[in-house]
Amino acid sequence: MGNRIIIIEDEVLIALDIEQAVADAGCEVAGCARTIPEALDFLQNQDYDGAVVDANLNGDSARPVMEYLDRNQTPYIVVSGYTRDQLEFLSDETLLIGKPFSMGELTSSIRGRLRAPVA
Amino acid sequence: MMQNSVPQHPELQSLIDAMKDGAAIIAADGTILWVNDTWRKFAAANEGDTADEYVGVNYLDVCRQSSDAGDELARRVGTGIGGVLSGGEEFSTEYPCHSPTEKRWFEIIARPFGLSDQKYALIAHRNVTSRVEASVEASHAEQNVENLAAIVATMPDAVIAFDLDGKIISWNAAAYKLYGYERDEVIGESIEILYPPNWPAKVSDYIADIITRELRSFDVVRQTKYGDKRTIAVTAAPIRSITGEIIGISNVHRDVTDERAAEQRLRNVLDNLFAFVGILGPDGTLLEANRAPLEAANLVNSDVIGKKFWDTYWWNHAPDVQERLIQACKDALKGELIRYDEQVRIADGRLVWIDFQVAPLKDLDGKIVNLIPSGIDITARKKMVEALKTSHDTFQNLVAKSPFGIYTVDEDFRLAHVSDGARSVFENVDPLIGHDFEAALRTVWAEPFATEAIGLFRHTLATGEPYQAPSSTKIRQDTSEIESYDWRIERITMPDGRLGVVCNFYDLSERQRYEHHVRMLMREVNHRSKNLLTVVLSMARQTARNSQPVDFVERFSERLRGLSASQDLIVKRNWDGVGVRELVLSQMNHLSEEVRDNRVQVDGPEIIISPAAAEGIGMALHELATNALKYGALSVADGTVLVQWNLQQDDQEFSIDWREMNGPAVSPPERRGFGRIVIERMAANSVGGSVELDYDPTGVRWNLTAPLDGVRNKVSALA
Repeated sequence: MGNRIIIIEDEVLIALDIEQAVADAGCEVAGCARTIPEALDFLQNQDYDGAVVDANLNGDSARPVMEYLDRNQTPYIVVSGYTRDQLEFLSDETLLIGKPFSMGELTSSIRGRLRAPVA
Repeated sequence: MMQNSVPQHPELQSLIDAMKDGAAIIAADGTILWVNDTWRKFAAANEGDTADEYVGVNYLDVCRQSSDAGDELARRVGTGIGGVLSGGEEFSTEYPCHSPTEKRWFEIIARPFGLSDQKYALIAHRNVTSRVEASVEASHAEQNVENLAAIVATMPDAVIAFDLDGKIISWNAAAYKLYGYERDEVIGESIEILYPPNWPAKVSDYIADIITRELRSFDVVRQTKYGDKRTIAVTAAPIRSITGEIIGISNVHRDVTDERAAEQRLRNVLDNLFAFVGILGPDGTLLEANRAPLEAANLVNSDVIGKKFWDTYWWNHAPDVQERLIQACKDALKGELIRYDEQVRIADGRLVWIDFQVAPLKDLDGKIVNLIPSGIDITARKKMVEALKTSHDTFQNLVAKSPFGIYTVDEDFRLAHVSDGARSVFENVDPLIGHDFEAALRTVWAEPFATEAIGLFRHTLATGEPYQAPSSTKIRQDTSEIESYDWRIERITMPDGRLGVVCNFYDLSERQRYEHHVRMLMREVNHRSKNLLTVVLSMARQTARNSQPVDFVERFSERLRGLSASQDLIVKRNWDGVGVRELVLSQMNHLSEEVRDNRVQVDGPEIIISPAAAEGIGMALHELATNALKYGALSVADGTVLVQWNLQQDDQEFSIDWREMNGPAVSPPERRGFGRIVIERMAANSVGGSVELDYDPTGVRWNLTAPLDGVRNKVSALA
């Protein structure tokens, strides 16, 4: 039984790639959100173990989403076309995967960062 | 009524018989003495008095009788001949005398002569039809010239003519409207009155060129009476005289200022969005490429498709560039994503920097079947960074409002000119102009910088070597504040002919603000391009997952073309939005003309939707059209499609329908492929709406409904 991952991404095609990567990493997709309000609603009401977050949703910064995840100490990975110096609110520990991404890199990062060791 | 005795000069009869014109000789009292053959024939042909052919009749009486009966010509002739007989000179008049079959004009001439102390008059009727006709033609030609002049006067384009000295000889109403000069102000003036100051060519250059090349069209800049500069498209041709000599030049001027500016804006957008994406076979053969790089390099598909990618025009300008690409393809074949910056060649041999990457594409079994190379033009970014580092001038031109300063120092080392922007630096130097520059610098700056700067100025003044100071932050002597400037000095010739030094400087804080602004813009362009590339890459992966390897290239290319058609519309409107009608039509381009014209009906009001909505809805329409062509209504001869859209719920909701009719019986597909994802989820998500897809047995029905806010334009935020 894999961990449950929430995907927060506004482009459907890209979300599909991320879903594939989550499955390839041996995890399960807990849901897909495409706007900030939808994402916050999901995070408050669903069961999940981690998240993959696009830093920019329809022109809005996903900072509130990351702050929520940080407060709850939930692990997450950020994907974005922006570089790290353009996303000033990103902490040094947060993993940033640049767009366009390689499926291999995304899959192994999900496996490494979001799949908790089996207890 | 014979009033005269027998004529005394019978030789006159044979004399007038020899005349071609109808002729008669009358006596001083008006009695006709002799008539010739032509007169008799003319009288017979015109039902005259054939009995005696007028001989013995008093011509003046005949005229008087006709005149009393109201004949105006007879009155004129009677008076004229009477005048001739009573000592006048020659009389002549012209009159029409049309027969039922032809138009004719005659001239009657009466001329006095004396013989043996007797006075006579010779009267001749001459047929002048051809002369009159010629003059009628001439007056028609005159009318034509007037018509032409009227056409020129009312033409919407300015029509101007000038002679070989460049003096204006014709100026129409549109020319007044364009340039503001009244006709009377410019006739006789040189055409150069329209040239802006310092225009590089003279009118004589143009005249020489137009004469040798006959008709020419070219763009120039011209200035109106009020000093406005306009871009003008000129069509020029020589004016020839009847004999073929060139006597002047005619010009048609059209104001194209706005068109040219619009073309330039569009060009800029296209240049910024130059992005490349293609498909390679595993051996590096180029199978497919999008339009932007082809157009950028003036190439067509057949120039590059089927060639090894590294042997194409873009890459084969340098062996090391080719080597790096070959290596990148090798590495990508091992499954790596390769990314680096490279220079590729476009039109006219120009090199541009691209952010280049090669991604491997795997099939279901994990085998690499294709390579996807892609690139984004980053020339502008590289150039901007270089320009900011090195070019003081570029900065000056771009940031006109920045408080940069200029001042000059003369050969005696005294301040000569100080611009407004430079005055604040010398606020404590008084008086300013003519002040000893060494003293001024020591007032403003502390040591050791003051002495150092004095040395640099003296060196430039003496040697002519310019000096560019590195960005420097110094403490002011007079105010103790820390200020930082970039400055540059050069030797110049002063207005009095002696040498001097000019110093340009600017406040670095302004430049830092400017650099920040440029970085923000570049970052946005970069983000937009990367997002598009990510969508393309995902599209490639999804297509590969859901299709057989043999079909992949075709399916992916088709989808890429659909996406590219939407992108064209987005760029065409400068990212301001896309019209629904043009979007729908753009996604039907892969259907045959017959199908588009007769079997697809498109209906709805003009609505502008956002670029994101256009992308999502465009892709869905593309998939629907492709499916209809393969399995649905468009796969049989009589099937039709109806695409309709409108606003509902008080214009708060947008709805678009796709409906197939008269096609084969429909059953729901067994598999949920990539097309289905696009039709349902992607379209709905792009506008925050919902999709209903109904596999009705009589025809597929698709409906997308979304709040208008989700469809309309959203201002992109620099988040």
